[in-house]
Amino acid sequence: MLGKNFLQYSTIRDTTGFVLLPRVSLLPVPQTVAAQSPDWALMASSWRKAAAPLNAVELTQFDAQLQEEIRYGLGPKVLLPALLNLSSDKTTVGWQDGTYYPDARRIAVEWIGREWPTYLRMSAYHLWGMLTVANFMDTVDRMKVWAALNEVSPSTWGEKPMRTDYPLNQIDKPLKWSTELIYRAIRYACIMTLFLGLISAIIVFLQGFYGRIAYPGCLAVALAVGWCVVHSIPAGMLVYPEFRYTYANLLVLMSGAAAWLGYLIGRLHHGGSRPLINSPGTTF
Amino acid sequence: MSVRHPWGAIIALAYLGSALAGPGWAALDGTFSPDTSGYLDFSPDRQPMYGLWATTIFALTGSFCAVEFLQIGLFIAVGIWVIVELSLISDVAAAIFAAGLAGLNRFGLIALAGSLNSEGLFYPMILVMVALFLWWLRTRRTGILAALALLVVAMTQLRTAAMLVPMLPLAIVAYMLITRSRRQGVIVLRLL
Repeated sequence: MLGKNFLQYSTIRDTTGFVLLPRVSLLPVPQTVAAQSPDWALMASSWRKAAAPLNAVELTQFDAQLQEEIRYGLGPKVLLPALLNLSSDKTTVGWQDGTYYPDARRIAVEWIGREWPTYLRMSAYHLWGMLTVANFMDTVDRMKVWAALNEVSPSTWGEKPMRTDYPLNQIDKPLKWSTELIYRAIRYACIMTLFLGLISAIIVFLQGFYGRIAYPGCLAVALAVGWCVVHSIPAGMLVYPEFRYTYANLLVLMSGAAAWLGYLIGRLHHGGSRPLINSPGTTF
Repeated sequence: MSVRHPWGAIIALAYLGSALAGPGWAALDGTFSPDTSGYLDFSPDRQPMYGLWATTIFALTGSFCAVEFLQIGLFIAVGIWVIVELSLISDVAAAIFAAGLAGLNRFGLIALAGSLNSEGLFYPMILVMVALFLWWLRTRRTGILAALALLVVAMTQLRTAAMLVPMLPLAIVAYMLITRSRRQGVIVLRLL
């Protein structure tokens, strides 16, 4: 099948290095790396300083911009040439055809291994951002991220001006009041659905444990939250809350919350919703 | 459904109208995004399913616009299926979901569903998953669960981000087996 496997679990070529290298963005720079790449150490120091006043959601978006810059610019043009003792042109070409993905993977894994507490903290922020649609942050947060991005070392953006269209959508402009209202409503609704899903998961678990029939609405919202969590863990560990991931989560959370509400209304109207798997002797 | 559940039909039609009248259709001109070639050329950096889908439709129609229109049509159709399933539970829930989906479409969700990327199949698959689950809640047919399991596996062939998603049904099956064996243990103890 054109070089593909039947039911391949991941991509044929190992792209971990391509994906993971940018995640070193906000990690402290090891002495060995700083010695080999003083330019990187200088830039990374300015990133961490600019990121210091940001909260978790703002950090995810600030890091998003840095990650994309590292993936397509600074990684192959600054970091890899210094650490692999190669010319910038050679690593740039080799990055495009995947030659240096294994090196990038080794470097990223060693770096993350040294600074794993910071990496885990950032991953937790990204996971939270993924589940609560961090890319829909409000104007105050956006302006703080924009200010932080303007505080970093100018060499971060190379010779070109910083992109404001991707991954952050027009980050230099405040939101319209109506857009801000909708963004806030979506984010708060997501947070409420997450808590609802957690509580529902506990209820369903206990109902199953004691051999009782699960409420269908609780099961729906618990599974919706469960799906979003398992969908967001790889992205939280490897990238950042990008809109294509968060839209997928939004669809599922919205469906779970609607089903929960529907069964609740049915229960209130009819004095009890239809049980889920209510054949005798079957639980859950 | 239209006679027994008139509000469900009205909500579904209203959603269809908003989706057809919404923005995004003019942008469907078969333009490739930076990621499209990777899928169509079966790059080793990409999962295979989207490439198979898009190249098959292209081979049949000779147009990438047709792929985009088909994806959006699929997205709208399965969205309506979810609305219909929800309306069988509660019209209010169906209306809230339809309004939410229409709102997200205004923010660009429908345009993403029409793009020549894995999202073009992934979002309809998510809605199919939801519709199947709601159908199963209503009917409790085992065959629907089998279809759901297949769909969840198919998601991993579309996007590596979905690689952990099959863990969810596995965890559920494990939990069901544990609770069932526990209950059988209790029955045996009572019999003794």
